[in-house]
Amino acid sequence: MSDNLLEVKNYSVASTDNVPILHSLNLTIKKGETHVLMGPNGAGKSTFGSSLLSNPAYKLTDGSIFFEKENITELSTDKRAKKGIFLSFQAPVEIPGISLYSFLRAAVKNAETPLTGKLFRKKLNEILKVLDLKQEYLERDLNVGFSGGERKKVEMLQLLMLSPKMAVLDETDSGLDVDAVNIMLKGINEFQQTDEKGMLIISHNMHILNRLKIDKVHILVKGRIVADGGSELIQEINENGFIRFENQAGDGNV
Amino acid sequence: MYTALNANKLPVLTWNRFNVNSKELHLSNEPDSAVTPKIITDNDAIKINDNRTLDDIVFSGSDKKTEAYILKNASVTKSIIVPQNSTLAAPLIFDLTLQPTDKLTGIFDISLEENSSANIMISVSSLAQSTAQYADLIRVHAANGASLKLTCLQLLGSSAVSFNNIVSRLENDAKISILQIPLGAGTALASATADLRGYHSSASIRSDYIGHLEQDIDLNYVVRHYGKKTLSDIKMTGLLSDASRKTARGTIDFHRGCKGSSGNESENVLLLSEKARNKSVPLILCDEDDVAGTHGAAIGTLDEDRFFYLKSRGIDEKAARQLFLDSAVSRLKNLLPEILAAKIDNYSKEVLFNESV
Amino acid sequence: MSDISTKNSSITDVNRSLYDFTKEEKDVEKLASGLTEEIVRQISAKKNEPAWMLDHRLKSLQIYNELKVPNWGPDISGLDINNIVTYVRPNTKMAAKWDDVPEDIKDTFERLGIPDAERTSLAGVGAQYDSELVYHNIQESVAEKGVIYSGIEEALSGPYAEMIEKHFMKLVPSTDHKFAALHGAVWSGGSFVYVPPYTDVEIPLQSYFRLNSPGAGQFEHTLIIVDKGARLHFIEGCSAPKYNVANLHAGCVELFVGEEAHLRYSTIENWSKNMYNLNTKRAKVEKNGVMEWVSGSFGSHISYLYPMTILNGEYAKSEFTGITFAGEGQNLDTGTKILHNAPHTSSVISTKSLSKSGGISTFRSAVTVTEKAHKSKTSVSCQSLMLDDKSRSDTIPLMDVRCNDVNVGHEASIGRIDDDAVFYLMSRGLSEEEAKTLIVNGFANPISKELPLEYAVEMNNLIRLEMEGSIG
Ligand SMILES: Nc1ncnc2c1ncn2[C@@H]1O[C@H](COP(=O)(O)OP(=O)(O)O)[C@@H](O)[C@H]1O
Ligand SMILES: [Mg+2]
Repeated sequence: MSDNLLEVKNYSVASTDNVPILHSLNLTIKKGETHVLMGPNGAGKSTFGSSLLSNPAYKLTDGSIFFEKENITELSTDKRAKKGIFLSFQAPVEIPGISLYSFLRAAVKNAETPLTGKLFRKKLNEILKVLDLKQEYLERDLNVGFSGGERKKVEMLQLLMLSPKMAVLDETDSGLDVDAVNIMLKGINEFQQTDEKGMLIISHNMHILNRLKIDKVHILVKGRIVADGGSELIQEINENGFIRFENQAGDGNV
Repeated sequence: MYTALNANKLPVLTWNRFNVNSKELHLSNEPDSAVTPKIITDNDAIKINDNRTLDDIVFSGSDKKTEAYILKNASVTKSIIVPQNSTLAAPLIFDLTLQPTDKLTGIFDISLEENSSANIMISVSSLAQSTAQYADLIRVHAANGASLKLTCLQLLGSSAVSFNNIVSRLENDAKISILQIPLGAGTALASATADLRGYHSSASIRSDYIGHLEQDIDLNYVVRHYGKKTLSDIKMTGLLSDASRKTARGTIDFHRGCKGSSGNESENVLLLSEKARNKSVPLILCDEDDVAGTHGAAIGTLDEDRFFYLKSRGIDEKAARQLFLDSAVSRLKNLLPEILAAKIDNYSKEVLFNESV
Repeated sequence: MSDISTKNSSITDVNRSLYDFTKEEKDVEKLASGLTEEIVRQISAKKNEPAWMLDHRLKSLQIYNELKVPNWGPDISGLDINNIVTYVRPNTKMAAKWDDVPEDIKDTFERLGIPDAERTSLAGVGAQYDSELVYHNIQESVAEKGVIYSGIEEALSGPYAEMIEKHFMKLVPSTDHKFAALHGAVWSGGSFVYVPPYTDVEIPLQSYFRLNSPGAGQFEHTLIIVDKGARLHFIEGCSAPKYNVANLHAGCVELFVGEEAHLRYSTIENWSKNMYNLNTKRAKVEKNGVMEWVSGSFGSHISYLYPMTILNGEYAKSEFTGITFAGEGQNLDTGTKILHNAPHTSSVISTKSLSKSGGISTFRSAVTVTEKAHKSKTSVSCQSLMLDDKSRSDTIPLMDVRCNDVNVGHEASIGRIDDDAVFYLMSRGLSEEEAKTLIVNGFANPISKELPLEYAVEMNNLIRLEMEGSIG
């Protein structure tokens, strides 16, 4: 049995203006595991990913969160990031005034194994090539004027540069063409290399899901986990959608 | 003794209580110190003399006393004539290095003859500890089809006073693009006016600043559209940290008859400290219907979403501030040739990243 | 339109010519023109007012004499206070029934549609003719809730005297500017409104100001206090016939919006083109309170008009929606001022201006965010449309930001009617004039939809009138 990497217990989240979004979630991701989180639009998948990094737009109303067995419920966003949790945003923001390059340098300083000048540059160039990103993007302001696909690639670039312990990928594949999705797959595979890393993938893209080694699948409907299982769940959803689960959630709720 | 000036005047006044109609400035009446500009050029076509050639360019942007003061005090006077049809690829650089207590007043008359083009840079710097005073008047005449890139870099020490003035007149199809970087000095004034006289003439004005310590930055940009199909673009970008203050005036002035013209003005200010103060007065004056004028401004701090994004990468508030400074410095360095970029590097090591962060 | 407060109020079917009729001056009492201590004392004496008010008037006069006319804004050298009659009393007492109002004055307000609107869609009406109120009435059901709506002078000797003394010219002190001082010295008439806590005045109140006397000034004072959790929509209308001598309007509006209270203040200003409109309006908004201004400026020769909002309590909000249309002979300098003086306050300013036939319109604003206003937000958007090449339009905004964790946004644009849009509409069979009128109405629409319905109709009519014969 490998060690627990991320564990949420009885985890309930509301927006700051007190709209409940997630209800009593229980989920454990062990080192080396890749989990998939699926659910209809508005189920709360992004909220979950974002709350794992303590997004101030949400608050934890109940429960706790452990990372490598340490209770991190009270830790702020940057502290959690420094512990090794990474979120690939569904909609990365533009930040005018900060160049991608300076940003990467600053972010990498917080990684477990910070890279020094030359190594940093070398690794960066390699990854840029893998992701088919142009060098000149580095001098541009972070995400400013980047297309949706480019932003997703920049998220992947950060994932690979930072090499965190746990990666949450929120619809990393949406809005990408097939070539770009394949590039993302390469990135994910690269990250999955060691059996120390954990992953939570939020995606419905069969092209990606079929090509990854997946340990567990969780179905989130209306803020509740209504089913846990293996990759057979992915097939079922691919064929029948969420209807069975939505009915189930509906019954359970009333 | 000193001379009191009403500098950086707003072309149309507004409420006095906000103190933006002009900036009161006191300039010393002591004689100038002896400073010899270092001139860097690899071109012989260009003519540089020690006389004034553009007294007919109407001064504006500050009161008449300002012009009189500069004309009277100037110890460095250079006229630069770029001959017809010639193109200066490499920048012509005037490098003015002041001693800590120096006073220097300069006049630069830049004439671009027809279809010529040039890239001219004026750099003023001193040590980090300095009470120097620098004032200049840069007059530009761009004849038909001429084009000028003009960069003014100011890196004076933290108690210095600096007043950088550009006035320009453009004929048919002439172009000017101005970049002012008032990075140094405790009191840093920068002003540029462009008279778009000729058909299809255009002006682009950029201003980049990094307010720090107790710096007081005061900017005044005016583009007057007279000719038909003229174009203007004013862009001010900066960040304010520590207890720095900044006032920015930007005016697009469409005169009757400038049909088909368009002007655009934008400002971005990032406030990085609780004590920073910002004033912005973006004017559009319009006496002609067949024009398009726009203005946009965004002033404030990082919003929560963006801040969350940075934090999710382990970057805390302090690191984020540093990041903005780093990015601003490297952006400026990228705009300049090696020799001036090195000066910025120096300045940022000694001042920006030394005391303020 | 879903907002009940914008439903069915006041004037229907008016066009500009309807404002421009004069009435013979009958049996009025008119003080000498000019401004002296003597005149100020005379005004005060007529009103039987408390001693503090006379003091206030005399102090204001002194301040008036010390202050200079503004060195910015439109030229007002054509205004000579020595030629202005500061007090003109109509030959009547204030009535609570239209039947008791003298025929010629009643006829004036009837032609302006006021009694009609009162019957159909208002909770109360005040009507001022020159320097004095001639009519004031409030629906019984509204009065029963404890809502006070009366002449302010009358209220000065009633149970609300103390409340008035506490608020009168406290938001707009006489020292504010020269014409506030003038107002402080010679003010006369105007309304007082008090809405008790948690009281919702569901239908609007309206005051209408009519200046009939040539060469006169009107200096009404409007004081509105909306107490905690209460709601009110107040409508102000004004007009005058055109004379060839200068008339002056230097009114003052002070609005106190309590915690969680909500006030909407709508104005359609239609002064004649010989009017100097130097009006001052100010609102102070407490915690969670909301202030909404809707302001249409169509009339006057020269206007200086910048309703100001002070967001004084946490989470206070304000919205300013304004339109200014400057035609021939007009120089309209309008806009707004906002002071964010508490955390989490927010403001939205959205204005449109039009210039035509040599008219000058200027948008002027000042947004101040003080050290206290953490996490505040403000956005300004102003658009100007030039309708010909004889006119002028200036945009003069100002932002003073003294707090860093705030969000200040501003956008402005200026230009003329898009040729492509005209072409598109003409290709569908519209004449050029129809196409342009349609486009101008579309431009004004975001503002007119905030106005009470009949005012919106009136505004569209005004625009149509202004656009008529504009192609040539
Ligand atoms: N900051 C917020 N405040 C209020 N409601 C929110 C907020 N963020 C998300 N929600 C709501 O929570 C639900 C879940 O949203 P989200 O997590 O984005 O869903 P998903 O990613 O599964 O599509 C939605 O109904 C959304 O509208
Ligand atoms: Mg989502």
